[in-house]
Amino acid sequence: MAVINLKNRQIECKLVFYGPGRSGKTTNLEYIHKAFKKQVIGKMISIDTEGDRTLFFDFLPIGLGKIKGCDVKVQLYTVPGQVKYKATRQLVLKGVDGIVFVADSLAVRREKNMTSLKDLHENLLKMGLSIRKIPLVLQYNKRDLAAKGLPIMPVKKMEHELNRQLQVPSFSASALSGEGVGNTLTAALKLTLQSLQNEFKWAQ
Amino acid sequence: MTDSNIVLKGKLSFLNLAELIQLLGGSGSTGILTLSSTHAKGPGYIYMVDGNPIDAAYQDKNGREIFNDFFGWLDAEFEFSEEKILHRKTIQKNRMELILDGLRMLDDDLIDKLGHAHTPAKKSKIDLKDDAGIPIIKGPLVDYLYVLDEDEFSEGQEIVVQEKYGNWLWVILEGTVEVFRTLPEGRVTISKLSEGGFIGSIGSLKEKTYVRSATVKALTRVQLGVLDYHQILNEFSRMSECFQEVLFSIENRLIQVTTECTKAQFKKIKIFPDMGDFKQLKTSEIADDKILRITAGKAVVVKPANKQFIQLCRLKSGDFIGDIPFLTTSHEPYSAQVFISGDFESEKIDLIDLKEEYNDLSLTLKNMILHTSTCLAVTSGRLIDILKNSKSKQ
Repeated sequence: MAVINLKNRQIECKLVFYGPGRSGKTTNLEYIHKAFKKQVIGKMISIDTEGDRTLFFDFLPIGLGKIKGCDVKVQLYTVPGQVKYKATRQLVLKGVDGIVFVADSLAVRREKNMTSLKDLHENLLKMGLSIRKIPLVLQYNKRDLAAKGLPIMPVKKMEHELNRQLQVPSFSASALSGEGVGNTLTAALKLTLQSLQNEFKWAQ
Repeated sequence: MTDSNIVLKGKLSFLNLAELIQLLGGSGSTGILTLSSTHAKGPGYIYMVDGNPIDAAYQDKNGREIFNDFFGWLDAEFEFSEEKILHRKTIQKNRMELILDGLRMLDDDLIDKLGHAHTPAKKSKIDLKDDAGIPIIKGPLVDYLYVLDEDEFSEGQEIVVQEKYGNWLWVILEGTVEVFRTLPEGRVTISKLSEGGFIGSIGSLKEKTYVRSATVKALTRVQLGVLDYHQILNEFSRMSECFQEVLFSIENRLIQVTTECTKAQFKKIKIFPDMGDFKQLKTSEIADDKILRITAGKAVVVKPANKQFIQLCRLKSGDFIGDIPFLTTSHEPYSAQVFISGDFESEKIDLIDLKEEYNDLSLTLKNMILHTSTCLAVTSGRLIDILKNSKSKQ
């Protein structure tokens, strides 16, 4: 549910980075904030929530066109993983337009990925949204850890376990070096804006 | 302020403060947001300029803290009146940061919920008991970061054995285990642990040759996560000596209460009609941001029951007295009393330093600490249960 701001002819929409704690959501956002500086409006807000931080900043996607003559402003958020942050999570997920699910490639985090994806599904349901309909992109993060000799899961296995039913675009990434972060973001923005375009067509 | 200025009115139970400020912020509103609640001693005010809160006031106080407190006014009514604001700015942050931080504090239980009874140190997830009245302790979600490997035990297998040496630490991923102590007279089940519970204690970080204080047996097929002992030990050894001592002191209480539990089962517990020469220490008078470290003399933590006193544990020099909210300690001042000997002396320890140190700990260590205080609360409750049961049987 994007918000149309008539005052400055802007459509504000919300892209949320979801995933288990320490899977690299904040690292993704920190990289975007650094690498796409020109498109970032205002400073990055960082709130220390237990387990990981909650980040937020505004982002202007460039080259993806306007909707009905309005500029599109995207609010990028990470969501706190811990169960107790109910109020924070509700606020962040309220009116979400697109989701990047950041999965951890480390073999020991396998179960955490699945639990978190299930949580996302349930949280969306509570707001009347369906994980199958909402613009969603998967990211298999921390691929670089293989080089350090840490056991990571093959992409094929992760695809099979997380994306078999969803069949959404997925990307390998190493958020620490920024590899794959841009691709993930572009794909997520494209899907989100397309879905908004469709919504506005219906509204006509 | 006249009525005609009011442009928006409603209830925070429908549109909460976070949403309301986002809404007013999105339209760049300038004016005064008035909050009123039957539970408050007066109205609260938030001054907004161009969509950002610049000051908040309640009674004779104002500023950022007051603003945060308003997130706890869950069922207040609000009115927004559009007007020019000539007011000193005490809040510098932008609205999204204020909102996210306010909600975070609400979730972290750092903000009192107005109109909701203040519940002291929540005893999380420990109300569960099995048919025989034995508590089942569950822990928070497992943090896999410190899990090195997974171990599986089948039903009936003993995972650790009382009086044997061992430092291994596990977290339960699946299944339930039973913790029991064995005495010459027989065995006593202390508690059952389930998902998220820890096997092995903080005490094992103190000595290389740690003697297990109880036996842990698998009641179902159990899947355990083997914790990275060295990583935890590393982190633990980086803590200040004071914090380590606080944790050992809590653990010390747990061991003593567990022993009392075992004794109670075989009616070997002493119940004191009075505390003799010991005087009561008014623990509720200790400042919120301080705890006491005993420097001389002795103290006894007791639970009063029917004009008698049940001893939970004895404290000596080096032990701590007081409520540590972020560790959810469970004895004084709410559920136990402290009595001190004539030669008792203590020094004050600042809790804020400890809290800051606690904040920086890994999730696994935090979970372990929480588990220890949960066990202490549960085991103290179990002691009372055992005494009640033996009384009703008599």
